[in-house]
Amino acid sequence: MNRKRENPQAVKAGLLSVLVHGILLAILVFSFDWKTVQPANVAQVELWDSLPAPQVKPQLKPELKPEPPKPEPKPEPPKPEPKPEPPKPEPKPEPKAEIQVKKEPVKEKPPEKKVEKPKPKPPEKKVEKKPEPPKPEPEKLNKQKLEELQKMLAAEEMKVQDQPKSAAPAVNAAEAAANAAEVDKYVSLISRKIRQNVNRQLCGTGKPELELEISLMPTGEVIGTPKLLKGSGLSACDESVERAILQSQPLPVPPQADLFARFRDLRLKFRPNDN
Amino acid sequence: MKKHLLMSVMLAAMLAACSSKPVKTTSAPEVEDKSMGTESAAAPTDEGSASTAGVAGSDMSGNPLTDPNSILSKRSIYFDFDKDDIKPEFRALIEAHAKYLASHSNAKVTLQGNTDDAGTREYNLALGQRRAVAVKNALNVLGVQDSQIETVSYGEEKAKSCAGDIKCGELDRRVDIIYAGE
Amino acid sequence: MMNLRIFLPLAFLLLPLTSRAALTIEIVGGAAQQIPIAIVPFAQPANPQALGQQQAISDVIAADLRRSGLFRVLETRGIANQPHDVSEVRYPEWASLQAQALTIGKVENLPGNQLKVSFRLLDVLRQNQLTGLEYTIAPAQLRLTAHRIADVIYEKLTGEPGVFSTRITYVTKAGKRYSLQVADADGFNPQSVVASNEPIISPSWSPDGTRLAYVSFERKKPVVYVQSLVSGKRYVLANYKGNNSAPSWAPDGNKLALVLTHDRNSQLYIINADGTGLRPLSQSSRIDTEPFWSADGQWIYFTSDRGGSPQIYRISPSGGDAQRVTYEGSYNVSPRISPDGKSMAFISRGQGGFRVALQDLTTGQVQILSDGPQDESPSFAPNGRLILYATTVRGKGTLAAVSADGRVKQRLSETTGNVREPAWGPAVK
Repeated sequence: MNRKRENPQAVKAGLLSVLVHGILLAILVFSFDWKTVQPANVAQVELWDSLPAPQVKPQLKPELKPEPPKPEPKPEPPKPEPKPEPPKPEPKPEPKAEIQVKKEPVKEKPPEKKVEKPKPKPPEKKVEKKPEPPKPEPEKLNKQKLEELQKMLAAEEMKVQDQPKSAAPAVNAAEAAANAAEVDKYVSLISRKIRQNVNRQLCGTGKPELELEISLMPTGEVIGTPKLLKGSGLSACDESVERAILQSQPLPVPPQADLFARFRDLRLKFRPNDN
Repeated sequence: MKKHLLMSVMLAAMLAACSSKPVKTTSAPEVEDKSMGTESAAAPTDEGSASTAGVAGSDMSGNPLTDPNSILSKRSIYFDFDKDDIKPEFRALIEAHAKYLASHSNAKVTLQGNTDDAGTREYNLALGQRRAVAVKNALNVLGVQDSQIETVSYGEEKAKSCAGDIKCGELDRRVDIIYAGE
Repeated sequence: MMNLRIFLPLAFLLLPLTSRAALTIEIVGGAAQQIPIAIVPFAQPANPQALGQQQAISDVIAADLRRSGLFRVLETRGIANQPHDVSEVRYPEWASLQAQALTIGKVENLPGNQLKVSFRLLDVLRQNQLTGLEYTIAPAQLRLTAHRIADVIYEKLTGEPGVFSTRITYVTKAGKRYSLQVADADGFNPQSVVASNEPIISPSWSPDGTRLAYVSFERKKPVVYVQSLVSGKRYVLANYKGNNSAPSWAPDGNKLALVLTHDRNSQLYIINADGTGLRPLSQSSRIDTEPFWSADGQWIYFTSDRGGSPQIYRISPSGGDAQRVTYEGSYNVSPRISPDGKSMAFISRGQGGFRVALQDLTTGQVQILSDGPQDESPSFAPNGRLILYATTVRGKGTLAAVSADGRVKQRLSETTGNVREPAWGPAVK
């Protein structure tokens, strides 16, 4: 592809051109690592250097919960500040918060590109935060980025939901245990209350199993009627179990909104003729 | 003399009939000599019979079947709980009736089987029947034809209420011999 | 635009991540024994004289449902809201009383001295109607209509047919007088079919419910009669030498199995319903008795002591070898097969005396259902759920019933005399 025949200086020019192109290409390649969604905007996406990535990686996960200011591992103090904003169960606010937070560290870097991009493209920011080794093909990069993004979001979500405001892993574990105990307690209360109303005389002599789905209001009332997922084969038994559920209203549910969220949709499994 | 003998024999027989054991006739007591004018029937005297003196009845009507002195007036054979085999003490009774039937070919009997009240009615009907059949078989052996015998069963229908008490129902476990025309 | 292109696909990625599996709660067993139902007294007609002196229809329905053991009938007197139309129903009030179902209804006059009876069965929790029916009847049929309504309610909520509008037969003995009676399933309105100074036993319903076969001793021996419940006329089905007893109808109503003796032990025979065509079914030198024809017509179950003690066997109606059915205990008699053919009620003698037992004909498992000590004559209700039988209470014969699972026990009392030999009539079509 190189044409250096005519002019010796053309060779140099050509080499220089190649060199510059190569550098640009390298930069482009690296920038693609964070650019999973918009392969066309390779140049625009490039916000982070690949070099600080390895250092930032370990910090990324814990930071993801409250805040994902990745580019600089050190500026953690500024991170706690923005933490209150992002810790929401929904993924959407997080990117926004991240965007907001990131603006600060972003500004420390070449501002032109970063500032503009974070705002309109929250997912990009998350993408940017991910420290990933550059990969040859943009398509593959995109897919891998997507997967990584999913994992990150999952990790963030889990952490945000479990420990909304706690940054320290030790405190999160204790809260998780307490919440699990509360959930178990209400599971047991609901099971016992419904069981009181289940009439096994209408369920024949076999060992039928039933599964129903219900949705609850925070008051413990059932929304609509139970949905039968798996019947016993005896309609009188199915109907009697549905009546038992409805008669057990209001079902005991935890008052804490975040715990109640786990009880909003319930799957109930019945074995009325077992002991 | 003959009358005296007769009277004393009759008196002795009456005394014997009242007792539960065979009583030997003693020498004739002093009785008024009256001629009864009846002949003593040629009824067999059984040896060692449990409840009668074995002297042929000579009542006014002349029917040995209803003469309380006659073994033939005894009509019930009793059985043990759940059993249909005939106990030895009733052998004589059966033989007496067999002989009567054999010598009176026009006589017909119904053997009516009964049980106590323990158990279901239809099964007890069958059990009572089995007892009646046992008595019939005994009569057959002694020469009585089936044409003179019908076996039926009342099961527990005549039994008194015993609520499972085995001793209570001992009089219910029986076969009754009923002659036609009675 | 760019934002959407990035964001939407990612949003779809996010959705499955945020919806975790629904919390699953397991409920094992159940404590409720009965369906709580409220029955509001029906609206009375403008001319109540037309009803005569009959018990209120809602009371009859309530008594039926209560007696089944599957319903808890809630007290409705004293409740302000006494609806007769759906529009008058205030569901939350009934729900607060813990009712799951509600029955409302009306009795109205019609010209020509007729009545219109209408009712609705409502689901209190889902606030909708489960069923509603109307009947046009003569006043004399009011009680029967109440039983029919109870049947509908029972079937709608339990899935089984109700038996409240069926009849039962039994024998009473007062002093020396025996009487074969037919009454409603709740014991109401008994009618004497035949009376005698001699015993009557073993009544058996024809499959269509129009005839009774029975054994009478009025000829000083057991003789089988067949009597029409419609005309009251009867004829002698069998009067052979010896015993004639234990009649059992074939499911087609054209033949009966019965027991004859002919101066031998009791043996099984089959005879046409008109008394012709007698033929032996099985022959043994032992006792064979108490035949019972299964509802599918495939087997005749019977009692026999051919094995040394009374046990239950079965044989094909066309003859052949008999198969033994009972193996536990030394005295098992009176076989009665359930309408669905899956189980057998019978009388078993054991430590507790004579008691009603139930054997699963597939597994052979036996369960003792009654308390004894002198229980006999078991008879299935046509829906197979209840077993009627004769028992003795304080020396007096009484009728009782127990559910096939042993959970529900009832005693039906007859005030005068001893009652025995019950048989439950077929479902009324």
